[in-house]
Amino acid sequence: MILVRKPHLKSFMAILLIWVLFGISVNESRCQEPVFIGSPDIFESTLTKNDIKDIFMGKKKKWAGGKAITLTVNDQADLQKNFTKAYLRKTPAQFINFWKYQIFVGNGNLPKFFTDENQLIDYIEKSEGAIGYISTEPSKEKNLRRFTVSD
Amino acid sequence: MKKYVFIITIILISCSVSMAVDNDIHIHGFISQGFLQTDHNQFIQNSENGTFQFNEMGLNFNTQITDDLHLGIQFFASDFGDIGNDKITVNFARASYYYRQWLSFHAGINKVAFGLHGDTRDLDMIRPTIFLPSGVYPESFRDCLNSAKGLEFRGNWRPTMPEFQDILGEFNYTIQCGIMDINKESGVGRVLAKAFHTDSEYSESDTAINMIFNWEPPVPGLRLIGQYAKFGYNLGGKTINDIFWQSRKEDALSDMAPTINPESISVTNIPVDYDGYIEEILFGFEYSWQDLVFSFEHVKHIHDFDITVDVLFLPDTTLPITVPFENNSVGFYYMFSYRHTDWLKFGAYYSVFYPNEEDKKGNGLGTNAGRPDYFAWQKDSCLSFRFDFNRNCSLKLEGHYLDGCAQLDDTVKIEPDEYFETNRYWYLFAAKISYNF
Repeated sequence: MILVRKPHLKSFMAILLIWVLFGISVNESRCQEPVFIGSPDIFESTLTKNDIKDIFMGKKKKWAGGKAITLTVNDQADLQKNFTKAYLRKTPAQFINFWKYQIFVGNGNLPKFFTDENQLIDYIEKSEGAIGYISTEPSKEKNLRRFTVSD
Repeated sequence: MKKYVFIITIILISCSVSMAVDNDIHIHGFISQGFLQTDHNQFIQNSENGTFQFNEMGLNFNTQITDDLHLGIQFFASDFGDIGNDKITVNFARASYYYRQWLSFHAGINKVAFGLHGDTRDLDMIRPTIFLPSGVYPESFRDCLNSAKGLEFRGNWRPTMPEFQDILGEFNYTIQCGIMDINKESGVGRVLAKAFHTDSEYSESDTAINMIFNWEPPVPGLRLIGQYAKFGYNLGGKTINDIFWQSRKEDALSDMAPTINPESISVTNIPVDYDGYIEEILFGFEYSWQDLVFSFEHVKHIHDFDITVDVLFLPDTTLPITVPFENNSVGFYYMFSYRHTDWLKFGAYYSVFYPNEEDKKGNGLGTNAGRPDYFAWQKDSCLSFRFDFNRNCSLKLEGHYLDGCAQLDDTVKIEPDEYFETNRYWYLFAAKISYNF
């Protein structure tokens, strides 16, 4: 029987942990508050922060009227980072990972991702029960539901 | 060959169906290919020489039938040494009815929820490490404990009044009831046959119940989990000629019939039947702060069986004797992961498994009889790096330093005389590239 000498694994792990703790970035992305919009057929006009969390985490799947919620995600990096941090307490990578998990365990469909905000607005305007977030107030010409967010 | 046919089929079906059905059916899939090498001990077949028999692939179809009803099916194939062999199976195929946020109902073949990460076992793209901590998530269980035919109820609830939300947080639950296909060749079948020192010939599983409760207390980023599962199992075969059965015979004779000559009785290579149940009790937590995630889980498996042995009184008289058999195994891990940049994430864990809670030092008691002491534990220290090329493709590199071999013979059959040719300390290197769409 060959015995291999035990390496100094604990020392290595300690060094790694120190690197992590000091390496955590304190830089915040430019503060850009998301504006929540929805399809014109949605009855609700006010959502709580918990409602938004439940909707974007796939827990709440229907509006009060019984219509299915169609989820969209604005894929602009800064906005997405602010949104996921403020409302979901997740990083964008964790949010995307969460949805991949949902798909591959059979819990639903992937939200529709948009890198172009105008396309996202057009999609929400034409869809039923859709919700999303954008970086600025939508044009008044657009037929959209503008959600007010409460605590 | 079957593997390549399946890969080509994935690509062709994805392209053609995507074009044909517009957006009504959502199609997603994944392919991962790994490489494994150990310096000592065969972790899976040929791992000492390096092996590519380590891959997964899946293809799923999802569609929303009505506002409430969702259908999904996933085909899956994997290879892990002698396990899987790229045989195509149905990972899940279920109809989901959403009633309210606090209740959704799923019928069909469901993925079995287990701990914080159990249902991500097939999903390499989800987690930071290649292997889940084996103390709580044994690799050998994946082929039979992943899916179950039956029903699932799940939901989440939080108090409606904000002042109570601040105190109570949020609750999530999953309740599953169904039957898992645990055949004698499956990982669980092999592990139990090993624990019972038996050459298995048949097996059958009863309906299982599985309950998971998650609590997100009003501490940002903290999640607590508790789980209870129970399933009945019947395994039968022939006893192996080793020290385990000899010592059980001697114990039984000294307790019950000290006057009988031990030489007149044989308990090796005779029919044996195990009928009972396995319970799983798990608890743990996960805490995430920005890109840092820390988790801990502890699991206890309780094996409670009646053993019926057809004891042979030489020369040719048999007498069935039933005796109780209890064995508890325990495992735990603590793990952290940290995303350093968009393309680099690393993680580490320390995982421990004891197949017999009563014999953590390897004193040759119970199921560990006749094996080296280091088969009474397995302690795994893992360091893993994940490189994300983009959202769909990643490469992981991972090193393990292992002390003990308690789970070594779960995946590779070791003959009784080969146990002492193994090494207590060993290294495992793993690499895996994954693509998903």
